Amino acid sequence: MKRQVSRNLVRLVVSGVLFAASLASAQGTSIDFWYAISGKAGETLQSMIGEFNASNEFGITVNGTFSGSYGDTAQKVLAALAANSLPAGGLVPAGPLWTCREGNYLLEQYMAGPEGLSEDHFFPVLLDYNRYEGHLCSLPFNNSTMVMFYNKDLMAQAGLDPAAPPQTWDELLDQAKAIAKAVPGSIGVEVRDEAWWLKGLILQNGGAIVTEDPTGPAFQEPAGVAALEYWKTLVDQGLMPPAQHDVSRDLFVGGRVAFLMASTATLGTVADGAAFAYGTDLLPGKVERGSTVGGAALVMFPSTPEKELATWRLLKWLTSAENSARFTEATGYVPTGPEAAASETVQSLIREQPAYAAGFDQLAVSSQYPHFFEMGTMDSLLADAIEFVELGIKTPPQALDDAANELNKEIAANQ
Amino acid sequence: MTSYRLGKFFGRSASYVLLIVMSAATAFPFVWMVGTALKSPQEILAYPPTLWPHELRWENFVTVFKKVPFLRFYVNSIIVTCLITLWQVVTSALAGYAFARLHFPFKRFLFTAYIATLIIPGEVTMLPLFLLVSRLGWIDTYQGLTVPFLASAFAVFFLRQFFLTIPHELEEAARLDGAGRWRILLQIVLPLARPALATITLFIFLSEWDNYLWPLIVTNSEAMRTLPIGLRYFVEESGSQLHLMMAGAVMAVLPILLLFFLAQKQFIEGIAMTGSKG
Amino acid sequence: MSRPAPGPGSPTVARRSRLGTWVADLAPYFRKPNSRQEMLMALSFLAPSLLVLVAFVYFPIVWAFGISFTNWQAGAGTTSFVGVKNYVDSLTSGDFQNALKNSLYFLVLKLPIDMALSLLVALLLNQKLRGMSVFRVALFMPVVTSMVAAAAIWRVLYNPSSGFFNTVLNSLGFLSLRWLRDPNLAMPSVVLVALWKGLGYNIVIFLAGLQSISRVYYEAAEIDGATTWQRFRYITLPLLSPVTYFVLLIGVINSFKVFSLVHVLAPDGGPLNSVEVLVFYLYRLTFQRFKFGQGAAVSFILFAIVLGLTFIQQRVAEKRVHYE
Repeated sequence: MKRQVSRNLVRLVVSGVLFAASLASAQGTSIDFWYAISGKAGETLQSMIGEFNASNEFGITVNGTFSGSYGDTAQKVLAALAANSLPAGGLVPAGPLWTCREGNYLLEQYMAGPEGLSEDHFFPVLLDYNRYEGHLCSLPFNNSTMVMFYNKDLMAQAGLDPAAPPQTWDELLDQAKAIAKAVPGSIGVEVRDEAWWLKGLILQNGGAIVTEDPTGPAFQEPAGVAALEYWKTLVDQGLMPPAQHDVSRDLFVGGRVAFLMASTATLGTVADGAAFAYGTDLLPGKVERGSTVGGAALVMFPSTPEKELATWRLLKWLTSAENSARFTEATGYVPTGPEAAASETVQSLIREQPAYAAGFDQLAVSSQYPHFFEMGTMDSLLADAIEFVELGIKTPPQALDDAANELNKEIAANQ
Repeated sequence: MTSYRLGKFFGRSASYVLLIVMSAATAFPFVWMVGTALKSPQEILAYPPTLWPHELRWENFVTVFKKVPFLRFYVNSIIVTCLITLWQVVTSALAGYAFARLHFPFKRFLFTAYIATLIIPGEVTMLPLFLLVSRLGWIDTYQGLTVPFLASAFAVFFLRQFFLTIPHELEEAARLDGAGRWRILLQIVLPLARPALATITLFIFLSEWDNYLWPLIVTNSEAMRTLPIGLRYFVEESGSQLHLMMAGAVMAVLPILLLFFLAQKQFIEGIAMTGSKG
Repeated sequence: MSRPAPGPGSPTVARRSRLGTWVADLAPYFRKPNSRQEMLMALSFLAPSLLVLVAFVYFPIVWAFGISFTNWQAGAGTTSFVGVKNYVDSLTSGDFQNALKNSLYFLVLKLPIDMALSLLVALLLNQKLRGMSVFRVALFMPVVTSMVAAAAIWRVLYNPSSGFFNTVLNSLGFLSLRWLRDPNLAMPSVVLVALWKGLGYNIVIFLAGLQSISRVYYEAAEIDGATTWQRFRYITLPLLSPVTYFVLLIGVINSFKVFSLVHVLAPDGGPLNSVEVLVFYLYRLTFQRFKFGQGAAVSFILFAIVLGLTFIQQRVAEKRVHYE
């Protein structure tokens, strides 16, 4: 810790001295930039980078390279970190862990610098997602949240009003029951990414997932236990098939599932594949509405002051309201800030495809804990806990306590 | 018909039935893969899935080239894989022969040490190897992509086992005629081991052709990238570019199929030559 | 040790230890000029592969071995020597024991079927019958089919709600099974895919092996009036044994190293982590929890286990494998 602080201090002084000089000399700089998104999103980002290269007034050239899936990119970044061959910037998963945790607070410096940005430019929940130990370590770009997809045809068949999807846990349970009863072979509720929904349920129940600094588990507290009890009810009443959630999206697209809790990123698949009327809405709530967010993050890695400035300029350009809105339009990821969300681009998208609106509304009621080193472990422990409960091996309090103990052990071991 | 012939007839029928059933099961996903390559994005997501598309979209193959520098990836893959394969076959034939026929100290120890390299999972050595290659300045170069793989214990072990099946007498006769080890290897052993050489060439090619993680880690520019990375450009959470990925995958399989047919020719000639009956 | 030493002129040296063996093996080479020449020959044959292996395989392995005694965790931060802690932690961890158990289960389930079936099919394909080349291609197809395509189709087959297998079971009056999502059935389901994917590979190896058996033996047997079984038992099997030994040993090694196939079919490690095999566990440790030190330790434990199995195989096999 001490080493990190002193190293950081040196960085700060050096970069301060070099800053003025670098402003002028960023001219004609060439930087490498890795991104962990593929398909339509990757294509869009690559063409935006091309546009930046052609249009930026500083003569900056960005060499954008696809770095594989989130998992593969983590390996590539790890290797480059060890070999000291990181690119100048990137769009990578778990951004704060590759930056702040390594003592790199460049982003904070540039946010506050002469060409800086106000935090108001972004939604607070997305900034929270990009924090580590109180520092802002990366910027949001391709974020998603979790929404409920509902099959209007199934609702109608069960005599329910397709325009009134469930808003609360109780309504979800009742409507799912009605549909399961009225339509043989149908599945009431399904989920894609179990840990994500459980975390949403905990927030909706007024609970917390992790404690405030220093980060430790809080999901095992009563609000969390009640959330998992609710989950167990859905399974016990035969409304949600246990432990086969990996096929949930296919089943929904196939018209068998009434209510699917899934990432906003699922929207494209559903839009292209569903041969029935469907809608999207916020996740049903209990005490309140809520969900956490996901996605990769824009990062800056240490290089020369010129390259760092060039990278900052790219990041600033990518997260401008106009470009964030365009990225949203092309990919369905949520807009990163209020200005982007209010833009005509996004507003007309919502008018044409109302299904997108739920994701943007969900974001408004989402909250997010900051990055911490064991967050990936926590998600897999939560997924395991859910499975134990679904298969009837552990009770909800037991499963969550065990997961919390495991997580505490891991955190202690990493201290 | 005598009962002997009857038995033969039944044996033959049983062979066919078994082979047909197994072939159907093994070839089916490949057919599905080709079908998917020709589907529209909408049809890919249809559930339950269709095996063969209603409308064949050949333009998917063209789209692949438009969206990513597929030709460049293809050429890189050919260069890298051919270099590695040719070199590995040569180094492995030499080492395999030494382990099969020559006498030298520490032979058992060395052989075990070769085998031992196969046991360590690549996930563990990848990072040290990357650090080494990066210190050599080979990041984003053909050296970085090929040199670490110019030898493999797998091929050495494979060829040694096949050399061991070649009758000693042939070599002894040649030695009495005054032929050296090199001549024996080139003129007697290698020609006799043609099915084995064809097989190992196919296998080395196959494993290098599919190699994904190392090229991803060791290259940073599109100009140096290989096919398996190219296919990943079409991975999408929503799955709606699967048709492009499969079109790319079908094109990527072609060289391996070609090689398989070439290797298979060795088998057929082998069968004609030995006419072996198991 | 039933076999004589490989070196010329050292058949009956007393074997007390492995070191002793090597020293004993060494002695004759410096006596006979002929042997010294052969030694140089061997060196020149081995050098091209050995140089590459030393630089790019052994060196990284030794490096990783060093890492296994540290608490290295991603990038910066302090890394220090922790002795055998990683080894102790791994061996006593429930997750590791589960992974080891799963790997052994995979091996036991897959290898015998794989070897028997691929040998059987290779024998069938080695007949002079019509259409064999078509079957050979068809059976090799899974080896070249993209794993993404293969996984997609197998998931459809295994789908618990409307998959092909359950549709068949239901139409026969049986209840649906949960296949990949059933803690007891997940591993057999994975093994079935692994068999499907890998069978063509071993068939090709066995075919190449069958090709190498000289026709002369079968002709002689025919004259003696040997039955098909006798020909198989007394000619094919013994003469094929070096190849069978290869398939067996590589089969053991690769079973312990299986990862991507499992990862694609069950990215979460399967229900109750029932298919989280050793390399899967190691991958999670290294690239999800960033514990390089412990990841390296796990791989050297795996190394020790497989090397042990290899030695046992060598001992057993040496008595059985028939070399020309």
